[in-house]
Amino acid sequence: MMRASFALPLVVAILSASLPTRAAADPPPAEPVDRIVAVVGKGIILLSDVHAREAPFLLKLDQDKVAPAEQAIKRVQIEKELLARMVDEALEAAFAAAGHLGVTPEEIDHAEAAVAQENRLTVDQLEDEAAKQGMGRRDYRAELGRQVLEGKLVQAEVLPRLHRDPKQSDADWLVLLEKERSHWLDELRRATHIDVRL
Amino acid sequence: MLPTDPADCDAPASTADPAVIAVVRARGNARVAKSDVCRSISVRAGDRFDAARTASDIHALWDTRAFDDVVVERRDSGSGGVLTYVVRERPLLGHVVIDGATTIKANALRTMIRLHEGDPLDAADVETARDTIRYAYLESGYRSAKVDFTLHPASPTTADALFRVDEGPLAVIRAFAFTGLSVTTDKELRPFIETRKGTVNVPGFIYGATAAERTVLLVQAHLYDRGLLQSSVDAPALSLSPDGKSLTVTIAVHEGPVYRIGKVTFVGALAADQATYLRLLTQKTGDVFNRATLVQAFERIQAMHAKLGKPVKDISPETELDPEKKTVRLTINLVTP
Repeated sequence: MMRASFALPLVVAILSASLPTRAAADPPPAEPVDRIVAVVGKGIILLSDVHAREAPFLLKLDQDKVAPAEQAIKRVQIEKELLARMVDEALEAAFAAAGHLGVTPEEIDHAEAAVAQENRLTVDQLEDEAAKQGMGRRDYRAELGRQVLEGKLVQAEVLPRLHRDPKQSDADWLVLLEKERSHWLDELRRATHIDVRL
Repeated sequence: MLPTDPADCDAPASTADPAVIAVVRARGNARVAKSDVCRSISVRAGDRFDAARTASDIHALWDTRAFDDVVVERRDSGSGGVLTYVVRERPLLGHVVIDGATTIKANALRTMIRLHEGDPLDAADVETARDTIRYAYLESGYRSAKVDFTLHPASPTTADALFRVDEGPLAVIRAFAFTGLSVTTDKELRPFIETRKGTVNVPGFIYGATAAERTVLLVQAHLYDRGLLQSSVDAPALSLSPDGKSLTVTIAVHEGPVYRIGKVTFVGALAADQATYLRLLTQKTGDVFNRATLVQAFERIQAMHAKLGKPVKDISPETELDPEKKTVRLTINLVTP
């Protein structure tokens, strides 16, 4: 027993000796806390903004039991995709603000009630479900707000560019609508200074 | 207690708690005084670390327009946390040079683009300036004009902006046409083409975008007066010839069916019987719907109400389309003040 109690400090001492040591005067390295990851027109998106939005995706990786090494690779991809989406949202938000187009809390309430009804849930149950997927109430309502705004922009900017053929199926119409929305977003991207730094 | 550093925003606080910020530092500034950087930072020595405040500080520093990058770093000093705001200063705008502009004078373009020498250089502003120059050429009829820019470091702290303009040829209109017409005719719609007294949007002259957009609105209004209630008018489509010298403008019209007036009902603050209102309406069931005639009728109804001492504040018509019968049911609501 006595020998065993000696053994552990000895192993630690040997391991410590084999590790590269930092001079006592060296300060520990600084860690980045936050930074600008994208410039969109006159506005910026921070790394902390991206992190705030990635929780549901990271939770999904955990739930899918993705190996840690693979998780790290996937996280990089998730952040890039999320940032691209956030850049588009920032473009849309700036465009909407310039045209005095916005979303009121009441409109978000209506949207939330509609989603809850569609899923046969109460609003509280819906928010609980969102929380289970890593999205708090505030984040979920913010996401709904973005969707409502996007809908308004499609109404105001994309629909007037299209003419629906009465013989066209709903599925074909939706494809056309999405294609035109994508063109409109491309135009916004071309007209705006965008600098992605992630 | 941490030793002081020239980058410190304020005197270090005494703490051993790594969650507490012992000192806030500003680095990377050269032209901008440290005190000016620190003024935008809300975190102070002795505060607990708060990511939301750090994010807010980055926005505050960005909003000064003096910096084009900000990184915040944190380390544990053993005597509390060290929070460092590393800024990258924007260069100042040196000279603005516009090459290749002859049709529009460089000085006129310089006034339009609003870039001021000596201001911090903002890439977004320079891109906007490029677009402004290009737009000025488009509006002048140079549909294939190209504008690009480069930024040249002129000193360690300044950069010149060089815009290069390739004007290309003047493009004049060869044809201005409407497509998709079956109920209406080209002859009927042509008077709605806004030409600014014959200076734009007519063959031999340049394309005027604003005037063409107004043309779309005028044509759409006319279609409503012809009972084409499901019609739509596309934005003008421009087709430039390969040599860039001539332009064809096409406005596609989607007419849809002609709607006739169905049942008409007046509701709200009525001052007479339905028959009186229907007489004032002049349009009757079976007539082709006409928006302008309806508006004129509303004016007559308002005049009648005023004469009777019962003014109406608003007349709001509700329309209900019957796509099978191609009729529109009208419910006209009279609202009193």
